[in-house]
Amino acid sequence: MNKLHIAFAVIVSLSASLWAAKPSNASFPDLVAVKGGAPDQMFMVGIRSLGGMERFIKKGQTVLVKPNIGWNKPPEMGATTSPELVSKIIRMAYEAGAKEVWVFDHSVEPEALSQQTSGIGKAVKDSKGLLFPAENEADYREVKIPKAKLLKQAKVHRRFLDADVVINVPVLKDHAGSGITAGMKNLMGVVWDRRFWHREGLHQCIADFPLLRKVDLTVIDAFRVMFKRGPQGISKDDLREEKIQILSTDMLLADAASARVLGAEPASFKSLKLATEFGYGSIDLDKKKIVRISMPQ
Amino acid sequence: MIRLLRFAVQVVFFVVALLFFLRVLNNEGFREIFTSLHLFPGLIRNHGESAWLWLTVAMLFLPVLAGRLYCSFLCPVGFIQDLVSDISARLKLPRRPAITSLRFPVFSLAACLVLLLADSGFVGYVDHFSHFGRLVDLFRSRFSLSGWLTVLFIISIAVLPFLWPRWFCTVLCPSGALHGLLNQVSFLRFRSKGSCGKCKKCTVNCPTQCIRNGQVDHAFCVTCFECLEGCSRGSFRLAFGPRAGREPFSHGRREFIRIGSAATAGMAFGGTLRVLALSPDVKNVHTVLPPGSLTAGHLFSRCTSCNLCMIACPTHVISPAGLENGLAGFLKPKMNYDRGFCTYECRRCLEVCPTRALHPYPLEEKKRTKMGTAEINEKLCIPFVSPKDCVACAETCPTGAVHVSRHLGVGQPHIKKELCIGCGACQFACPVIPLKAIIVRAERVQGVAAPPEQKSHHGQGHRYRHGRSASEFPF
Repeated sequence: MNKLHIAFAVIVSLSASLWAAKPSNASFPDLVAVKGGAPDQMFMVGIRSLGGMERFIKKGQTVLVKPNIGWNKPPEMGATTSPELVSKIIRMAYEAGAKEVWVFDHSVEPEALSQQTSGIGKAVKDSKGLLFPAENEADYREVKIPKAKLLKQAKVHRRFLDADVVINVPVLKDHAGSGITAGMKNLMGVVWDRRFWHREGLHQCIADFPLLRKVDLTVIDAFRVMFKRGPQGISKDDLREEKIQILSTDMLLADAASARVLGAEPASFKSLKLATEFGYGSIDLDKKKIVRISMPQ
Repeated sequence: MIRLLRFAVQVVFFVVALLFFLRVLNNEGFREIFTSLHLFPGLIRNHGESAWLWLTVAMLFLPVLAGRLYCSFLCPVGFIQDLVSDISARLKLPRRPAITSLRFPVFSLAACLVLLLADSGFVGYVDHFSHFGRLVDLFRSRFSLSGWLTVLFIISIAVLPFLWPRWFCTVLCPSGALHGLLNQVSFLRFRSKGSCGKCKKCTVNCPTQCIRNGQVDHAFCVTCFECLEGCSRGSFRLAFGPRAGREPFSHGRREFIRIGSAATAGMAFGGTLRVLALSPDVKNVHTVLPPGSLTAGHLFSRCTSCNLCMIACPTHVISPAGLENGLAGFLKPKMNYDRGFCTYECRRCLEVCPTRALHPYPLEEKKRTKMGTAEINEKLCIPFVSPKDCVACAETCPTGAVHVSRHLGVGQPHIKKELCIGCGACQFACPVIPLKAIIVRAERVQGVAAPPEQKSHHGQGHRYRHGRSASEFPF
């Protein structure tokens, strides 16, 4: 052996070690579920098991955090995403190197009121996120979804289309129309014309829409779950404090786990069942690698 | 000096008025004071409620003590006309006072007072507060039905005053008419003494053109002090005192007959209008009215169509009516559930209404106020005519009045009428085209809905399993 052989061996070993040290997606769980903490604490714990924010965000990228700001209700009514969870995700996104963190939702009620009452407006401002308006049709772009069965085209908010990374942060609720609102239904808040979905076929449109763009991370806020009379809720009797949070790169899988939290089989919800036909996700919880973390009380 | 001071005060009050109507200056105390300062809506707002009535009445005594300072220093509508007058003077246009012999403003005032006492909102079509509100709404909303009346208003303050200075003040404004009358017995007077050189500077400078042969006609004087400023010889003086009031113009039997006939004609005109055309005929009102209207009669008799509720509404559901509610309801608010819906946790319209035409219920009572009741047309409703799920109506219903029952695998909406408040969220959300499958029918008298059910077995809650341990995950 001469110096050339030694140098070659060292280089090959070093490269192999570096390659081995970089985590491959195959080694992460498909779904992480956390129970028993506050929403922001559960996120910190959960995201670590999923590879940390660095797995999803590279330095200098724009990140969209899409919570549910649909209703002019305070956080304790469970109709909107917990503001402290939104705030924590935005802060950790910046820590991971995001250039800008965007937030918006096309609210059902007036957005200024909804942003204020839900506490999310202040949460975004305090964590230096950028909250964008969504009540102007000019902010939406017409896009085509060729593989869709019903939703062949839609006007979609440009911040959803243009962001480098999309983090979907729904609040888990019963829903009068679709049965459940979790990750997939939360995406309805990025389109202009919701009436089209109700008119043409609600479940199929919900299943169609994710074909447009893969959501990088779904975080289901099941801290305070609305079990009946969703999506608005009429009284606190409609809520149960479950203190659960579900994180996954497979939005459909996260929705399947959410269905179980509501006490139902995933396939009993038409939108979930229709979505399995496209192959972008799975509802087979039994076949997936799930990490369950109970936080100390 | 005084000219500069007056200009500065006018600018400040113009900005204050703008900020009030745009709801930037929005605290409750300020709203009470600002609305009570004006004759209309102050009298309508405060009659029967004595808390701020003293302010409205005190403003009536201001002209007796200090002339028409309100008109010349405070009123933004006067400010706009003065700017026009300035330009007109520079362009050397031939300015003439508006017709004075018929004493039009007395006519207008008398008509308004009669209609006011007879409970009608006709005053809203002439009073300057309501005009200013509609003007702000015009720019904010870019177009509304009340825009047409506002165009006429703009002509009266920004076009006609080029030739007839302060045309609006001298011909239409009921406050101006009252202030003009009271100015006749004011303690403040402008007099020309001794060294007048007949240069006519006072005559040219006067924004209402009320000086003739060096004498001021105090019926049209707005106490702006321009004549004092202009007089190079210091011959124009201010006189103050109870004996200052002897006038070359305002006495004599002819004047008394003129004023008397104008007032009588005004009252006759007002009374006739009230009987023939403007009687609030509530039997024909089918549109849903904003919360707090109580009945169409109550709303139309107090509302001056100032558009403040429309400016304040966060969903823009409140719109000015055309003639569908009769002449009494013309330009007054109605709910337009094709444009928006009445969002549940909100009472902005009740906060801002200057005349309390919309009764200022606290929020919890407003949420129980029944403006109408929703009805489903099962021949149009998607889950009734097809096997598709929809229920956008049930989703958006804030009281749980619209609930879902499953029939042949599809969720169909039904209405619990006693819970429905007629807010229109369902109608607005309904995706059926071209006609909505769920519409709100107006309640002629806005009653009280039942309270939302705190505990309910409706919805999917039956699947919730009790008694899971704290560490158990359901997957």
